Amino acid sequence: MEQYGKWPPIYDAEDLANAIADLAARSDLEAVFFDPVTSGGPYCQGDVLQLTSGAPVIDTDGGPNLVGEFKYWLAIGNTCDFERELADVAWTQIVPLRDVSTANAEQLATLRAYKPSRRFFVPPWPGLPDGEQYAADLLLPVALHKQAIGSAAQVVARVSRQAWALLHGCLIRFLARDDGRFAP
Amino acid sequence: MIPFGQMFYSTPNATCGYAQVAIVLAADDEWKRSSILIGPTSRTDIPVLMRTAADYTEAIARVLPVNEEADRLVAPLFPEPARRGRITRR
Repeated sequence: MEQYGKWPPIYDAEDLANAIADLAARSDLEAVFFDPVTSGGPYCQGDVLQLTSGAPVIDTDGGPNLVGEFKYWLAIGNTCDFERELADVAWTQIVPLRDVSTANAEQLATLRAYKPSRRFFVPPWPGLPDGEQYAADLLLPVALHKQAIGSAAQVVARVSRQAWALLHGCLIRFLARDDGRFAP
Repeated sequence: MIPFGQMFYSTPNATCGYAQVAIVLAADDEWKRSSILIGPTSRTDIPVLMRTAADYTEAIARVLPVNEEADRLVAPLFPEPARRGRITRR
């Protein structure tokens, strides 16, 4: 029998659908969402980074502007690109985590059920002060030099296998939305 | 019989695009030969194994359908961030 290491494989579409649905339906999302962080890497898609910075954007005038100020970011770049040499791939992609602690009950329930396609709810991770809640804003991707991670940007949380499957599903939905046949 | 995972890790440069979809180059049976493998490649695991990429995306579409109403409901939580200024050359 093949050996798969830490995580068992998800074999088919039903497995994947069930894994994502089970996670999204859990009331104790926080309990299964994160794995312990190992210092020094390897870094992974789904890592939560602490880095206080605005987001560089190309604005309405076609020029580069800095917008907002964000304390936490979610890595959405390929895990395998973290492994590649800097000469091949120097950059990863991150999106800001935005404070959603003012969400009302309906908004929070919607985020926790992963219904929005442009935002990804990140439950409070171990060590986050009580009351703080964040969701990744997939509309504001930023390129981050890989060498900043571990120095200027610290990994403060790392998603579990289940949560990674959910994140990846949401990224696929955001980037390659379906034709609407499954719309509610 | 060659362990599937071992073979995967022996060909790291032939795998993974943006959606982390990797075609299994060779395997010990027809099912695996036609399969597609999806997952973070630097972890010691292979989390998702699908017959085709279409299976994968259809599973996602079924369980995570696009819901414009949900996006509109939470949009007020994500106002356009304030401009902090033009980025200029140093």
